[in-house]
Amino acid sequence: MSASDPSPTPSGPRRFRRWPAVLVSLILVGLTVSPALREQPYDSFPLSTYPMFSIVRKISWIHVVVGFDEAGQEYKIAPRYVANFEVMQAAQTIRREIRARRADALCEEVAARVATSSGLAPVVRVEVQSRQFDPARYFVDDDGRVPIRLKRRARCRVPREGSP
Amino acid sequence: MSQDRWPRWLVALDRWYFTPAPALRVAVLRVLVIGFSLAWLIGLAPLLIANVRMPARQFAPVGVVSILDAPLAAGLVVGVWLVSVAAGVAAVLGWRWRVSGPLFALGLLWVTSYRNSWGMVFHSENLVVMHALVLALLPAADAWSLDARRSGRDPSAAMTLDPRYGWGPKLMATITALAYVLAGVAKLRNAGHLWLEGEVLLGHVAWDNLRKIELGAGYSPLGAVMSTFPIVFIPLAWTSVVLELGAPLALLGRRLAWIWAIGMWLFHVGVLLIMAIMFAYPVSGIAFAPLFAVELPLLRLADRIRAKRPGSRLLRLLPEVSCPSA
Repeated sequence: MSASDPSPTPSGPRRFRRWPAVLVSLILVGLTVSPALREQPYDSFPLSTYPMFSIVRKISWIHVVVGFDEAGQEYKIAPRYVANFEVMQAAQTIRREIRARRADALCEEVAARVATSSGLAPVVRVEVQSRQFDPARYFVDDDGRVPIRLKRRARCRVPREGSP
Repeated sequence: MSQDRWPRWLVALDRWYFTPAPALRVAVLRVLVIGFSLAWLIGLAPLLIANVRMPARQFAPVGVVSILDAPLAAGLVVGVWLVSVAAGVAAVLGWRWRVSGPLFALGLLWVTSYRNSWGMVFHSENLVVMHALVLALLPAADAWSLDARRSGRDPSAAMTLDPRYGWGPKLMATITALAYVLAGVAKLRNAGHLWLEGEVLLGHVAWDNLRKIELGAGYSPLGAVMSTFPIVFIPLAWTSVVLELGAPLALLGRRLAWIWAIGMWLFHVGVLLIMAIMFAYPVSGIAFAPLFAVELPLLRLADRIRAKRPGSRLLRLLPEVSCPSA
């Protein structure tokens, strides 16, 4: 059967021409590989170089938002108080805010959300911190869970009724 | 230039790319891919609402959303999402496909680009969006659709082989293979031989899980335990790169496609188990569907129901043709 022969397809005896299909295919294949062909490969959406898991990590900083009660006991602050319920989104949001020197603004936004949470009622203070761990030791011994280094980027009170 | 004068490789490529396929194959891909995307889009609703509340300063547009300087008003975000969902329902059913297919694909592209425009580019939706865009260009409602039913077409034509239905699945499969090749290339480009020594993967698994713990989110206990056995990550690192760079082999034949797709599916299940990261599209198996004659299991199911329960209402939802081998 030749490409341009009319055929008894469900669409009826329409002619099928190859060149539009070839053109569309070349464009989409070209677009798919284009991010990797640039001198500086870039990640975008939906065209991507798929760089996840490819970066060499050594000992690096992790940025977190944590809460504290009056006694200084630490509370984990779930990602939904920082950005949304996606942990990666929360991690990236904290990282970007620290880099842009907006940790104070982030701290106050999170503290305002914590104030409305009954589950975090004991939390009176929120901190944005950068913590450094050795991933190779973190799961091996208990000492690995203690940050090698810690930087406090911002600190703020949880605005509850009656609090100063 | 006449096809007689084409070089051999081009003739072979043409024959491979335009292998005649039945309309039902593209129709089944429509239901699978658009159905998955629609479910994904509906599942995204809580995230989109959460993103609407995020401060405008965190807006970092990517892709098509780069035309914006600032986030859209909440009503507009919800409006685009609603139109996309409505178009998706029509597209799955194959109703007014020439409008609903492209409208849904563009809506999906916009909504997913918008959700990736808050400083974190996820990589879980790239492939499904590309597949939906390809489908939107195909005659994907020539069979097993409301359009086909309304036009009164002969149902048996759904299995007539024609090259117009063959190139679309090939293009979708090619884009799938290329996406994995790019991921493999990125690993070797960014990490080089260190990736093959397993330490980079170990670092990612350990780092990702410890980050989740520190951020107060769920993590993978299996990944945490595995992080204490570095040697395990050497074969895992090799396997991942071999599977990714070997993706084009899946285009060469059904058997290779099966071997590769199962390998890649296991890879994604592994990522889910040791990193608690879900790539739903490949884990569902639908990402690999364009590699296969996906209409056949459906026809076998219809034949079985027809034989056992001829009066079943389910038959009204299934294709009216019989499986060719039956």
